[in-house]
Amino acid sequence: MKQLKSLGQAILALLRELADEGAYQRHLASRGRRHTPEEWRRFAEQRMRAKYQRPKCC
Amino acid sequence: MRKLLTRLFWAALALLGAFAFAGIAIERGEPVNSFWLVIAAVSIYLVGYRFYASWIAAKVMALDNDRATPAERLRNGLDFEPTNKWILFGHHFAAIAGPGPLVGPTLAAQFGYLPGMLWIVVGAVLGGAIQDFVILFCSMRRDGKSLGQMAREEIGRLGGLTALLTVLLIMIILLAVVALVVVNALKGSPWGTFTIAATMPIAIFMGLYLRYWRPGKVLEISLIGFVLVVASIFGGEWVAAHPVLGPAFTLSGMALAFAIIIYGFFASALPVWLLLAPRDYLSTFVKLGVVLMMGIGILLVRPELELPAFTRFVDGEGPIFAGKIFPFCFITIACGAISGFHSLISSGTTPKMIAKERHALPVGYGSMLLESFVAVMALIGACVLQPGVYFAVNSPAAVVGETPAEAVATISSWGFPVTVAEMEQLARDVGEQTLFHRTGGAPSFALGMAHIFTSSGTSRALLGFWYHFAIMFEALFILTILDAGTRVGRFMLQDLLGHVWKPLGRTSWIPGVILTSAAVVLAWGYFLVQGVLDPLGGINSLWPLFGIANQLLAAVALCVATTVLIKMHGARYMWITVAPLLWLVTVTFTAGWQKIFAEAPRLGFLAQAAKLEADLAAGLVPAHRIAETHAVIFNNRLDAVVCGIFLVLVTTILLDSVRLWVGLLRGTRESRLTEAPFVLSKLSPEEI
Repeated sequence: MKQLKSLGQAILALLRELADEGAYQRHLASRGRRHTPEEWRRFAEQRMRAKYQRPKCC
Repeated sequence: MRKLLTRLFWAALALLGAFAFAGIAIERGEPVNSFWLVIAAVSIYLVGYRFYASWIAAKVMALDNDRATPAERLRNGLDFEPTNKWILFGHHFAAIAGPGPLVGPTLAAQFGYLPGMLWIVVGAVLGGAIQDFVILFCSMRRDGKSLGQMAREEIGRLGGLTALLTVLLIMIILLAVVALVVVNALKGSPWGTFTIAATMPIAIFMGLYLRYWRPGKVLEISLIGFVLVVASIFGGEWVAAHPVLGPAFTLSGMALAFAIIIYGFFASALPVWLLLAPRDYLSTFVKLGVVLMMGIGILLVRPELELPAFTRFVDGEGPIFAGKIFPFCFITIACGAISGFHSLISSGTTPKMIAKERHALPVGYGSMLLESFVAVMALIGACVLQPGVYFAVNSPAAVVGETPAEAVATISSWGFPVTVAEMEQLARDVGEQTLFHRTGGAPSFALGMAHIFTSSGTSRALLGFWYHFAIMFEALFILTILDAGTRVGRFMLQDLLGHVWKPLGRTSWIPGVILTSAAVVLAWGYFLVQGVLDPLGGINSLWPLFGIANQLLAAVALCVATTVLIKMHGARYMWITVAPLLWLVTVTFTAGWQKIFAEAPRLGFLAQAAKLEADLAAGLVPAHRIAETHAVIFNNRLDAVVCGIFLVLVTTILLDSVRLWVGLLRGTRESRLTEAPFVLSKLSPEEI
């Protein structure tokens, strides 16, 4: 049961990482800021600018 | 005792793999169960990982968990962040998985299941995964530098510039060929066209939701987006049957090509948060979900393979693409075994997120093995179809005949019986008007996937849903590749043109953005239109060109990897990357040479142009086709030139590298490693 729970947690963590939600939480923590719509937009713009300067794989 | 048991386990696993491979290779006359392919592949992957890759990690790279990685040293909470190895594994796999390993093996199944299966497994274990792993290691030891930067620093300025040009050209061909796959999948399909068109407003809704209504709730909106996309698949069935909407969404190949070109221009110029990013999230989740579902479906159903181990088309006369097993099976499978594009990912985000050096082994090597397994599943998906159906779907009209009656007569004469009634029934089952001449690999992959899913317990009435789900899944991430690729191509072009006229290099200067976006879209759009016009279906010329380009990029990556290994150990371990490099160079140069100069018109670009010219001169071309034939002649010559440019670019890097290697080994060149200095890691296990 414990192993199943940790597997579920790992899958959720992966999904949050793929969704950039993990990176956003780290962004807030490292800057000591709280979540606001403006903060998300600032983060998303910075993140996406870097992300889409690289080609997607074929 | 424990050691003995471990050795016995690995020996048994190796024997099982050998037995499974022998079974699928030697078995004749009896149907082969796809489960044997799964066992053979997984056993070889595990043995390769445990012995070959682990040995390289320990002895050659000397991966050291006490050495701080860039993620720890340069930690900034954004790009550089130590990440749990399994999360990073999933992240890296999601980044490297594209349409290539689905389409390539599906097309290569024209040779039978065995050649493709052997190359997918062996190529990945000894080549593709090695390339990904070594490049990831090199980048990780160099603060996450890109392939281009490493080429410039390790080989020289010429190598760096050539790598940049090669990537730009490869991207143009890649975008054209993946767009062609979508065009061929949606041609004359109102159901599919509506579903894909619906993903655009859905993505825009997701973008607005994330930006204004529920900022930051990516998982939540992705789930909503997924529900909407599934609803649009059901809606597509209704649209296809509608007397007004049905015909409105029934588009020709050329109309679809222009729609995608116009879409590509606007999508690449729109803000990324509005369309590209939300669809990218959705496509990533759908992609991982489908891979998982395919794996479970194959294990549950364990379907029998209908295609033989070898078909008669090993002689090079295949209807889907011309050319013999060597070199065209290897060129066609491309990403399922070795993908040059992976080296761009392995030297991109991933090296900046590795928490401990030894994690590079499962992330770099392991992810490629999983990608290779996806290719095995795609191969199984193609081979579970009746061979007659497989060839009827994938063969262009110019080879098998325009009408259904001609097509089935030709295909049946090859020893793969199929009837018009059978094809019509199948088309009705999946909600399509016809399944003849649907070249490009996507429709037959979708048929195979729908066949496996409906056999694993869901109703056969859902065949149409699963078929269109698979088409949606492929088109979703192909369109994301188009947006993102056009954008990246624009950045690269601006980077190059900025040296000619400075304002063109500024990414904030709107006329420059419009001009360079248009240039990139026109470049891949031109090749897309060429593919649609091609009487041989486009895939015959464009997919090999893409395969050659992709494998040549892998050759560039292996040149960088070999240079680093020589600088680390001299000649001792250079064979690890030189062996796959030699193979790739042999395969790609043979394929490139044949595509340019082969005398058979279906194979050689120049021979095809000469044949069409002779047909024109002899008055064999009908009047309404004269202009089109002139265009096809020009296109074939252009393809020959593009192929030649690829070969020249890679020869330049190769010669530059060999010159450097000889100098390093003779001691006439300074062996200077550009690794970041050793810093002791202070990262505790709890932090990862």
